[in-house]
Amino acid sequence: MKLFVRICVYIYDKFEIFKDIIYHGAKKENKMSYLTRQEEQVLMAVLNLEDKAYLVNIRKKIKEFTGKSYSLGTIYVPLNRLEKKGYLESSLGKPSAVRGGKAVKYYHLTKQGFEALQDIRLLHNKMWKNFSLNPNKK
Amino acid sequence: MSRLPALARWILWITLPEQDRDSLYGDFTEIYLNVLSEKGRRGAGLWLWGQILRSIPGFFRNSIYGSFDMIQNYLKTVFRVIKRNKVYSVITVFSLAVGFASCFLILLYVGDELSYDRYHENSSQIYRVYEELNIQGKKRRTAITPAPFGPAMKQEMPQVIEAVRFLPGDFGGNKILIRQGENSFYEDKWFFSDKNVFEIFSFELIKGDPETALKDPFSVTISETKAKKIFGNRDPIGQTIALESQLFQNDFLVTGIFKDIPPNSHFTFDFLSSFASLEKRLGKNLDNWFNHMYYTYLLLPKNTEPKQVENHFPALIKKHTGETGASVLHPRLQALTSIRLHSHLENEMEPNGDIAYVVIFLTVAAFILGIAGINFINLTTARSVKRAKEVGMRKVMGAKRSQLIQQFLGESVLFALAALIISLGLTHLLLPTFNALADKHLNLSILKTWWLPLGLILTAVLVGGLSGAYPSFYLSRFAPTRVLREKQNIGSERGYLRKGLIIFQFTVSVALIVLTLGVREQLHYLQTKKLGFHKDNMVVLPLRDDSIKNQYPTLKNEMLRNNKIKSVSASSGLPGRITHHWVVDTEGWDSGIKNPSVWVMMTDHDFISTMGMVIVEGRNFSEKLKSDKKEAILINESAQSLFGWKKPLGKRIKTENKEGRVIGIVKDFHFQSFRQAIEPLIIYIHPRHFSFLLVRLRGENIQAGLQSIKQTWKKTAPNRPFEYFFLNQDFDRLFRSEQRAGKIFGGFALLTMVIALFGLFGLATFTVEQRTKEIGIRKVLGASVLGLVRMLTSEFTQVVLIANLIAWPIAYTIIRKWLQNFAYRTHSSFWNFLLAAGLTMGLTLITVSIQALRKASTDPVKVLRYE
Repeated sequence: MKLFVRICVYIYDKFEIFKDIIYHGAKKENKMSYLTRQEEQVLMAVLNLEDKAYLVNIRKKIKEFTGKSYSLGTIYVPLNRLEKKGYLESSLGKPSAVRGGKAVKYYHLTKQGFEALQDIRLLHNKMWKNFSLNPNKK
Repeated sequence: MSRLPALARWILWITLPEQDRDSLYGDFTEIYLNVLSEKGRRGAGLWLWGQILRSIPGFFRNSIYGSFDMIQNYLKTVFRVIKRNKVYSVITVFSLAVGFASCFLILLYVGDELSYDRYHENSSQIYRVYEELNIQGKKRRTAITPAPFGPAMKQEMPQVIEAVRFLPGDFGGNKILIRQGENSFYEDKWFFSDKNVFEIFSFELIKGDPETALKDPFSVTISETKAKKIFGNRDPIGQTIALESQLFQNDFLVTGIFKDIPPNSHFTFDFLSSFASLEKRLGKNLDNWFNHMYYTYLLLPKNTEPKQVENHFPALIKKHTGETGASVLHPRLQALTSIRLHSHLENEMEPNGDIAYVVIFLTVAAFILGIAGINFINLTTARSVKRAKEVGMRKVMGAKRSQLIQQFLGESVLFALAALIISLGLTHLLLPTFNALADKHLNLSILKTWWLPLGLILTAVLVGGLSGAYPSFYLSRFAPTRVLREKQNIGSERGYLRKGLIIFQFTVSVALIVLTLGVREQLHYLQTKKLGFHKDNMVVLPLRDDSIKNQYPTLKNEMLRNNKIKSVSASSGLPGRITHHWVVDTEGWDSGIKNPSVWVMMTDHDFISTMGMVIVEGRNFSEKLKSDKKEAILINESAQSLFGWKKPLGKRIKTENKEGRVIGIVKDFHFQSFRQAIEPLIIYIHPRHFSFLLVRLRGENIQAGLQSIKQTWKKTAPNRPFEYFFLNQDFDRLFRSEQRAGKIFGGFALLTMVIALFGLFGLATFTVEQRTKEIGIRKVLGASVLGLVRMLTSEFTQVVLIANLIAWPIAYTIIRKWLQNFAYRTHSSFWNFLLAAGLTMGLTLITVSIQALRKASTDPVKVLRYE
């Protein structure tokens, strides 16, 4: 019995996926939640940057989109959250002198992340169907 | 140059989330270096700090976000626990709340006691001079000193910066009549003091110049409240008030208004007038080095050792009074801040507190908190069986032990905080009662300070933490394999500890009950003790000034005409209100400085018969013998033995205002606190010193009697307010501190008992629930309800019995010690102990049987089917 519990704990600790099922997986199934605007922006930035998506570039990209200059911390929070939710994956690049000898953390869109973007796109299409830029039309 | 400034590095290191610290640091550096090359060092610095400041909230939120899930889960668990165990939760929170509330009250009390006289800026440098007198081989310590002490010490001792003298103006306990325009008032807080009083003490003058306010004779400063009372909205400065007392019939010029003296002062006054007025009136008398009447305070330089100053006193005394004085007068110093709690001298300005009470109260506070905390420990560990599975589950899911401990500790702290909030409400409700009991003016305004709420929260966290510590370590230890698989009563393992804690709770309760009963017994003994005079049906009218004293014969005759009045007399003092303590010359005593000193009552002929006192030898005063008024003296039995006379009749005694012979012996009667033995007293006729008119009513109708006294008074002295009090009520003042102690002990006993019973109730509920199946089976097998109840209660009654056995000797020792304060005392009777035992046992039985009966009388079918 003790051995069994130990094995359980070992597996549980080793494989993050269990944690996801327990903490997030269950939630996701119950209610489909849409991305927030901020998350949407971050995901789109990562999508556009392809394999050059790391915090500095993402911040630049969002500034390109919106014209607003967010602080690093403000961008990092949704980024981190999306990674926890499984919408993003990350990989470490090489350390470089311009970064004070620290490695780059690159983010990549996962399949789930892509689906989430699809969902929000569909939602937008549905919502904005009858909208025209010409205010006189409606 | 590829690094961030050191401070920024450090801050980032602290705030960046651990898992991405490196890469984030890299991101910061990258942009920083970019900006650096574009805008230079200054621009880059600005950018960096702006970034850091704006980023920190984000990172912080992120760190909470990670643990938020678990906190949410813990909170949910707590609410489920509360919901599922309403009784336990209410008991735990409520007993903690009661514990906190009583602690809070006690702390308010103690804080107030400790704050006495500390508001003076110089409080650490001010010392009071008191005197150790050698009289009749007995050491007397008195707070009053002769008038020349202060000035001489200031002038001739370099160690003394300033000296100030006070003289309470209510000579002989009389109130002083004050007139202003049409109005007249009796006031009793009129003081005289030297003009430098405002330099030494921080009494705050609102109007007037502190340097000159008390310079001139017949000038007076008044408290804000009294100024409003006397002058209304007019400006009192420059006005006069007329003073009528034994010493003065003068107008006093108002030269200043001071803020009311804070209640946490060891003496308070409403009027402070110049010492120069006394000098004008008393003249040479003020130079007397032996006349003890004045309170002297010294201001010493910072960090002066009072002993060093004391060492210079003998030389000073010898210089001014020679050998005679040096052998009698021994001035000593006591710190101003120690007076309230440590000074127990004769002739204190106001009754002081006692450090012993502070210690007792703090101990009781700690006990009450302990008892409340024990409820928490007991109920939590007892219920642990219910939570064992939760612990097992959490452990299987990977919870570490430290996390579980955190969870349970957090829970108990949460309980404690809830209790704290409730306790504040309770305190608010109880404060008026407590104030009345403790004779204080405490309020909750102290909550507005920053440190108290913080302190309270810390206390709550501490108590929650301490009482949660054991349960959480205990609960978190469960091995998941065991609790998840076996069906075992985990809660019942720890029976011994729980029993021990209950024993502790009840020991404290029983001890307090015995103490309460003991104090009550002593009080009852004192109040019913034969006093040597009759205190009932006696109305006392104060005779406040000479004009009314002169009218005494008229008043007496008028009153005696009334058939509701049995007899009338007058005297200088009463039992409980005696003020004259004089040195006398007696026949056959070795003449010298060490003459005997005795209490003196100056009365008229009918005093002994009016008071109902007994003459054991010789005769009473007689109006027929003209010589009695001139030279007859009665002495009490103690005086006889002090003077050492075998045949006292006819012996000569000389006092300050009388020279006469002893005509009789009065049986000893109580005229002072019961803490001391009856002291020597002499009685003689001397109308000038009358302070009280005594009227003995015939028993039947007090109100009618009082009414006719009032009419006579109004007729004879229409311009004097009619004041009166009953002797028996007035005499009861002597027991007031014991009464208060009794009530406070009673309150605490009740509190501890209630909290302990609460805990017991919770535990009983739990135990009975645990044994549900056993009860069912026993019933099926033929056990009676009564037998079952006996079985279930015996566990608790045993514990309470042990608690009683432990508490008795403790309580006995304490009560014996307390009783030793009294010259007249009962022996604490065995019944007190039995009663305390019966009370605790009875209440325990009731508490437990309620639960036991409920379960024992249910249908066994239902009970056995419960799974």
